[in-house]
Amino acid sequence: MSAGWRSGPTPYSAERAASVARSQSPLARRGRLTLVLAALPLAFVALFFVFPLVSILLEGLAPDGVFDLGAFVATLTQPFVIETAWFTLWQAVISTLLTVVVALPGAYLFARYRFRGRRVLWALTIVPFVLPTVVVGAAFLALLGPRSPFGLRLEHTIWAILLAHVFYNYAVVLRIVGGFWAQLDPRLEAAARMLGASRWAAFRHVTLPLLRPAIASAASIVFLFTFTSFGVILLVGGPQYATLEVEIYRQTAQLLDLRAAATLALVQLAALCALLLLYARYQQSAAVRGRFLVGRWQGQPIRTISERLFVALNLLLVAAVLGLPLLVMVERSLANDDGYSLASYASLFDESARGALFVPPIEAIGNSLVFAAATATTCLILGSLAAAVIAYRRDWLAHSFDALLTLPLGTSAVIIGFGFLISLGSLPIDLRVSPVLIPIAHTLVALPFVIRATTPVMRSVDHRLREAAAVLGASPSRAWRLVDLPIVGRALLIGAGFAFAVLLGEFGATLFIVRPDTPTMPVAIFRLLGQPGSLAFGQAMAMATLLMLLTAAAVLVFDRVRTPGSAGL
Amino acid sequence: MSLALDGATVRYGATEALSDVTFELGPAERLAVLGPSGSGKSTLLRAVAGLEPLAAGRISWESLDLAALPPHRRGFGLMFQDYALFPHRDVRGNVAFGLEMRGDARRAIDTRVAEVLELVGLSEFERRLPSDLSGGEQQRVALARALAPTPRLLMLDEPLGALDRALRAELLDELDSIFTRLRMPIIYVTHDQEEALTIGDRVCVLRAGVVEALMPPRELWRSPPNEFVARFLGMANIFVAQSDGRVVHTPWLDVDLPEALAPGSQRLLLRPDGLVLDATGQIHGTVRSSSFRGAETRLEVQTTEPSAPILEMIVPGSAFPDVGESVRLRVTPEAIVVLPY
Amino acid sequence: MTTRTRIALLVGLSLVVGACGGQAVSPAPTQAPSQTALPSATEAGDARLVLMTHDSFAVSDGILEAFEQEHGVDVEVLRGGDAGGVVNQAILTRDNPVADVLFGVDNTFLSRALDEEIFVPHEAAGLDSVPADLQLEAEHRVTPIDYGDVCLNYDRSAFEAPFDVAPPSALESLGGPPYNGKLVVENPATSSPGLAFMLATIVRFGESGDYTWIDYWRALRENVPGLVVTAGWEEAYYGSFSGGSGEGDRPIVVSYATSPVAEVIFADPQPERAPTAVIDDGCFRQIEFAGVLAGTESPELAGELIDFMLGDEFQADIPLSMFVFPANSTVELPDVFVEHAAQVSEPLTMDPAMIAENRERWLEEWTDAVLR
Repeated sequence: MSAGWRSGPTPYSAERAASVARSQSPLARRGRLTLVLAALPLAFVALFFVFPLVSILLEGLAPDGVFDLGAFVATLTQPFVIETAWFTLWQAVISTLLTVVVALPGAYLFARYRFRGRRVLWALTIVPFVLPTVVVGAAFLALLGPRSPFGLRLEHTIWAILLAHVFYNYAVVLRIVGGFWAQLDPRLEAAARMLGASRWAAFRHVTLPLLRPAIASAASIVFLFTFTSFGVILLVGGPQYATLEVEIYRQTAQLLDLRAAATLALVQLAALCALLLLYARYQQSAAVRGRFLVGRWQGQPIRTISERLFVALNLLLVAAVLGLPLLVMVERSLANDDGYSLASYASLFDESARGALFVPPIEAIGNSLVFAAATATTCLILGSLAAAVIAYRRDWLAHSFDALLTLPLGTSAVIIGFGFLISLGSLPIDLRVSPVLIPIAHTLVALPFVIRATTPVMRSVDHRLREAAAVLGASPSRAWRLVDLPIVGRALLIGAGFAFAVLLGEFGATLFIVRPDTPTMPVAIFRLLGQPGSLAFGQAMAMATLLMLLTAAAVLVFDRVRTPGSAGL
Repeated sequence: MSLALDGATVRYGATEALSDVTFELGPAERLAVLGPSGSGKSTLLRAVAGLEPLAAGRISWESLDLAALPPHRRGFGLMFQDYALFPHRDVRGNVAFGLEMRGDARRAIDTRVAEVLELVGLSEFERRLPSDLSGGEQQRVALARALAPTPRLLMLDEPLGALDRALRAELLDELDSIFTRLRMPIIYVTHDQEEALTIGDRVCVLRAGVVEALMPPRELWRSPPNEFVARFLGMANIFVAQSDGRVVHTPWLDVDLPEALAPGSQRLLLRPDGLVLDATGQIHGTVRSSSFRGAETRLEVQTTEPSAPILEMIVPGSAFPDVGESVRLRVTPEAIVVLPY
Repeated sequence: MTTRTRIALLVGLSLVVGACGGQAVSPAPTQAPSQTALPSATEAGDARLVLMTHDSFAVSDGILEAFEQEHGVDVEVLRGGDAGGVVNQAILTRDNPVADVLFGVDNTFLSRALDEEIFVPHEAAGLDSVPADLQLEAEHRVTPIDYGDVCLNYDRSAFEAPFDVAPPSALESLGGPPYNGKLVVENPATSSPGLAFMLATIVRFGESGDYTWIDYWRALRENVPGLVVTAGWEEAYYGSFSGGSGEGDRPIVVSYATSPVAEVIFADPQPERAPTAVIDDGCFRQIEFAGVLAGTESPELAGELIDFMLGDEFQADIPLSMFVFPANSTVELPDVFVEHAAQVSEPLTMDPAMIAENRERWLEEWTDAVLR
């Protein structure tokens, strides 16, 4: 045997391998650079999240400057607190599981197959995410309520809640998992099949382990959303279901029992921190090193009968879960006593004297776009900085940073809103009633998305590519720009696009913030639904349909931006 | 007879990636599939593996049509270009995968994994992760993985493509000896003719999905069936000449052929080994360029015959004329081959 | 430069950028940065007056502009969510208020707001046009601006031919046949009309005696299909109510006395007769107040705004903008209002202090009786 085969291995140790990997990351041994990158997002979160949160919690738990442990425990152990916490937890877990299970086949569909209308459909799946719960509630009621065409009476049941959650969060799993899956080297699956694994076995043993980080990432966001679910619970679930968020709202906005509200908020935060800890641990253990993402996407055409069946079933599922409520909305916007017409849309633009009952739609649309754009930009900047730190450092510091930036997603919007009021007034510049507070609140909420979408991709860029660039004379920053940025840029844009779409329909976070009268589309819809009358209702549905179309268009535009490393999506 | 393809055709939309491919493989035969990129080599492997459905024709194993059999039940081994090692499993996990899928007992798996790793020379590597291996090591793991479940047919897709030249030459010999030991039918896909000629009992040349040649390497080299194959094999002395039966009027000189050709205009190939440096040779020329390759040198000679094409020849060893030197060449008539198209 | 300095600079920079952004977007005129920027600065140029209110506030174009022009101010409207939320926000920011005038505190929150001392007294001009029963506050810390009645609405078509049932006319009858199982209400814990209706039943049936309000609710709940409870008004009205623009199947809902008017006005074409009607029993009066917030820098101007809100121009606009009745009794109601809105004969009321004191206990008892 020649020498090539017989050179023995160097002594191997896992720790050494891991430390080698860490030292090859671009931020290794560059503590100062890390600090600089992290400074801006950190300052943002410290000022606009931690500061208000701590203020309001202190106000509630220690109004006289002294923390009353006895009272705190007494509030904590009240039966309704425990019940509410328990309900919040299990409905969130089940909602998350359900969403993941339902959306995974969809993710596979989009990741592997090429079919007509793929890109449009991909963009459309985000639409539910955007719709205000007021509208969705109405649509769901039409489908599952007293006048259900299916004869189903599911309103005010847990099933309605679960279904609504799946409806809302389908896109999260689809995009995060699907986007990642599309970049998984399809030959890995083929290799498994050649080695005797059926499709299912190949999925279980090869694809799933590699998908785990992405699934965990998506699931963590879905869990956050369903844990802090507010509008869905109120509208679709009815009065006997209350999550912590609903209770906090009641305590703060209705009863002004700040102590109870603060206690509940702390419980919520504690649960959140526990989740994030678990999540970080899990990501650590599930992380797989190596190159297994491909640059160029190659979708398969659909050929066999079973493939056709699979695709058809999936599309049917998507149509049923996502499409039906949307269709109902559109139908309601077109319906009037004599059949269908565009009257509701026309009346939106007709400014005949109705006072400020409804907002001139142009203004609302304009405001929505401006706020969303402003926020998406901030998110892009802060998000990429933060994602860089998190993706490239890979240590406990990075994970804590990630957790800190995710906290706002799971913190009660009521509490944050009230926190703003208490805390921001003591700053040299009073931002409490500035319209800039809306993009700030939105950024807090949307930032985790951009980070989630970007970090997996940032992590997986092969360090050797960067080294190759360095050897060819590129400084580290230049190397990053030329090598990582094209690959990462795509992910960043996906994240920003996602954020933009979300922000168009954002409503909940700003509901509890004192804000100048700059109505956005969701607010306009909300106001329209505040009065009886079929015209107002039709207008609300028309506005909601417009919002839907606007979102789909925005997402389609964003998705069109392609860099060389695009995954065909 | 093991594997048989009969008119196998694969279509992607309107294009045919494989057109009407037909051949049979003996029970321990090594077929090298040679062709440029985009010629359908990988498609051929995927079709045999069952990863691509056929648009027409059939693929059978020992006369049984494979159409209904999904890839994971065919029992064929496939070693991928770029290896496709499972990054989340260590070397042992990768190699053992096929055995686990089969449901073998733990102890049997351990034994077999050790055996196969020994075969490829990676016995100490069981716990390593693919990301910690060099290119050559990854290639060997990929081979071991494909061999572990004792496939009844082994397919390799450009196994040496990602390696450097020196390593490639070394490993080519190793693969050759491993394959001899294995005694199973093998399909070896490559774009490198040296690999194909070394490994294959027969060589199949593919171009745009069509089989251009299917014959043993020596025959392929000696008489390439058409111009494409000849050029692909690196032979450049292709010209058109008139023949009156036994004599052919080449642009340089008239040659008496051992066997008669049809009279008229012919396209002919003069193999590079059909030219020899000979002080008594009838072709006069000057060396235009020389490319020393260690064991041999390629020369380009500009002959004195006006408007005659440049001749390419191979000179063994390191003793070769310099550029600009005058030389005289002799033609070996047996090295003239007719190229039908 | 040390790392720490760099970080401090970065943070400082971001703050400045944020502030500049705020200045650029905010409609207020630029202020000298050295001021603690309370919004009601009176500098050279237009003065600024901030009105804080809830999301249901509405006023026609031009009305507020008239005030602005007359007094040379910019009136900025802030919204803070629903009525309870807004009051609580005002209470929280008592020491450093964000607005000058608060509009939207209603009688169910009044006591609480007064206890927290967030208002300064202002005796509005025009109070003599306001009926005495609306003036709940003797010290003029708040001024009544409008009032409405939360009443049961019913779907006319469910009680006409071919159905042989006369529409209900008394609260008690809803507990048994033929009206049981026809009612949808809102959860008083999360809905303002829901709360009002609950209070109405407390006033009507009382807490002690043979038949308390709890007994009433139990009766409502009995007999499948019993009672439907929703979280908010929209869901009750659009989702469960069958009348007018509702899509549900229950013909009786807790809504407003002015809801039939909206059904007429917002239908296309406008019908002659409203599709829904009001049950004139068990209506609960809601009164909305406005007040000058303590800590405002321009109390006089704030007072002027309140006077304006009680004045003819603003009050005349209220019916068709907010679908409630103006407190100013001299103002003429629009015809469509007169024709279709129900003037409730004897609305039920409760002392705000009593509401504040017992609210939480009553909600608990209600939840126990109805939801568990």
